[in-house]
Amino acid sequence: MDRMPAGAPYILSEVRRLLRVLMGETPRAAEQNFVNLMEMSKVRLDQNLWAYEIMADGSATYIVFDHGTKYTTSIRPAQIPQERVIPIAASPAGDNLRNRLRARANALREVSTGIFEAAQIGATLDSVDFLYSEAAKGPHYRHIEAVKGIGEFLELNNEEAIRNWCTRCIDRLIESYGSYLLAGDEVIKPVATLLLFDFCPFPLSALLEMNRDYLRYGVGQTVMGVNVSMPFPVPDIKFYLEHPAVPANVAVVWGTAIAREFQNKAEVYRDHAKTRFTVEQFLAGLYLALVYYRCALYAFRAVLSLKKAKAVTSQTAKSRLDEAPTEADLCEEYRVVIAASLHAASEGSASRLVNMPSIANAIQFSSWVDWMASPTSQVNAEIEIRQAYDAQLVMPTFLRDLAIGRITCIKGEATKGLAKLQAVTRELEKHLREAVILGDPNYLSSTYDFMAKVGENHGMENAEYLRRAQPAYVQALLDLAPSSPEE
Amino acid sequence: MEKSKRIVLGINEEIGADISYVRRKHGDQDAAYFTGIEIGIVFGGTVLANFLLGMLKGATEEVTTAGGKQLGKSLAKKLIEKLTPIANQAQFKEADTRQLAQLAASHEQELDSVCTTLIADLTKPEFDRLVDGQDALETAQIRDHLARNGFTTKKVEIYSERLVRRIRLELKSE
Repeated sequence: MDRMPAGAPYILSEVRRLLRVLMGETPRAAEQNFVNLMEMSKVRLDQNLWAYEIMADGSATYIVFDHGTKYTTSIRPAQIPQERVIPIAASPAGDNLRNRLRARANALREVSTGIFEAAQIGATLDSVDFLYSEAAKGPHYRHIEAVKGIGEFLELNNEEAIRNWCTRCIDRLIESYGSYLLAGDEVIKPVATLLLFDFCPFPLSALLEMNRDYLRYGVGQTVMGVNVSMPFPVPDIKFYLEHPAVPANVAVVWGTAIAREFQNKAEVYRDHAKTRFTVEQFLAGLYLALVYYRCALYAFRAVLSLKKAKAVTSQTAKSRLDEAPTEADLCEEYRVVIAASLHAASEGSASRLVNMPSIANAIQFSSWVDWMASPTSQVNAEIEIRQAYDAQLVMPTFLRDLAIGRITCIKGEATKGLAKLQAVTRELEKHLREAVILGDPNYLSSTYDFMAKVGENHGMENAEYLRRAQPAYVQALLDLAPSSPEE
Repeated sequence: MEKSKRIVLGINEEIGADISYVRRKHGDQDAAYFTGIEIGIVFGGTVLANFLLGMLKGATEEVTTAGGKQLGKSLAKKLIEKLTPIANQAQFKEADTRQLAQLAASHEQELDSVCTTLIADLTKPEFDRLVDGQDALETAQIRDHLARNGFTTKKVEIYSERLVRRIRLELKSE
């Protein structure tokens, strides 16, 4: 019964989980995190008070574990004795994740060329390869390539045309990120710049003029006798906010307005993701929330670093500036939490970021819940689940409810637990087709199987649960042919 | 499950990882926090206490309301005295998170006893009217509490409304 997701969709979902880890920021950053985590796992400490010290570019970051509280800081935690501060050797990033991605992508191509091509995995692999290349170490402008065909930026001649152009470019860039063709780092600044245009409090022609000036005085209109064109505005919001023509109050309110808009979007995607009934949609939603949190973080930090910020006089600007550090910190925390969640979904407990298996493995996830709820377990199973859901964002609502239903049954409240599980399975049945297409783990059959066992142990009628736990029931729901080679 | 525990978990669900506003307000400078639900549970208890305080204050000030009439000033005063220390709790940072869990458990006992007293003293329609009848004070109480504990202006607006709605729903459910 756990075999339902086998085949191309399941392999594709594995590939996508890896891509979300690699493309959330950059593949190199993901590889570096991977190596750092491997290094950390070599030192296993049980004390309640200790820290890792990671050196990068001459400055230290500490990951502190303090009696159940975990945080990062750049300030040496004074409460931790030196012998409990563990330096992590800076090992060069390898290509562990890329090799795994290639292996799974090849496996997908072998199982189904059609799905491989439809999902544009070939183009995605090319893009990932580029980001490992020497060319990617220098400045590159793939965001310009991505918006090619939408129109020449400097030729836009009215407000509406500029706004339309900005909207279309944002959509295209986010789509490229969502399709794993551009990495998070490649889209953040361009997208933030375009939203800054959209939120411009004065005529947009002024922003075009700033770019023309940049071209005129910064680059030069011709290079070696050839006219230089400008297909995309300068992708740096500080370029506009620091411009002498923009008063301090306006700069702060304008910059924080786009930061807040990005934050809103991130929250919408985050909250929407939690309510999805497939693991794939949950993770895809988090991946989008991640890029918006990163855009918000970039915008908040840009505003906080404005030289003119000290000169603000308006109440609104002052209040925005007061709150910006907190909001920036929150965005940073969400960045880390979501990145860890995406990593954990790909690697499970091997990620060393969470103490639970990957939610993409229904059998391991269910066994973990059952173990926590068992009489010999030392953990508070419900609190662990709520922590994973509320604080760590590692599971969607349906999995939280499914886990709590299981725990309730195991703790002896069979009727209450089964009612909760029935509510979840009803929804899972409604979304079964999506789950199969997206290669999701088979939580439906494994839950019915569990419910049948609960019924049996409590002397309750369980024939219907047994029937629904069979693969034939899923097949019937899907109205699928019994043996489709692609599935 | 005890009533207050269910409500506190509901509050926690509404706030989610945004509990970091509270962590930041009471935590170390320059720290970016990760996991830990304990602070959320303690904070959830204080939010519920603030809601109940707003509700009881309103009911006793406006004795013309059905809830106010039924509840009686002396009982309301006693309950307000019980709730005030929880509502004013300002210690959300503990070196040991197990201590936060213990604190949450002791709050839960007090909150349960307040809820039980109210439910026992009033009929269901009276209780529901009491819960619904003090919108301005309940919301103001929660709004101040969120602002005191690090939530930014925008988030105070979003969460005060959302939390009042959720707490009412949970309190009125059987």
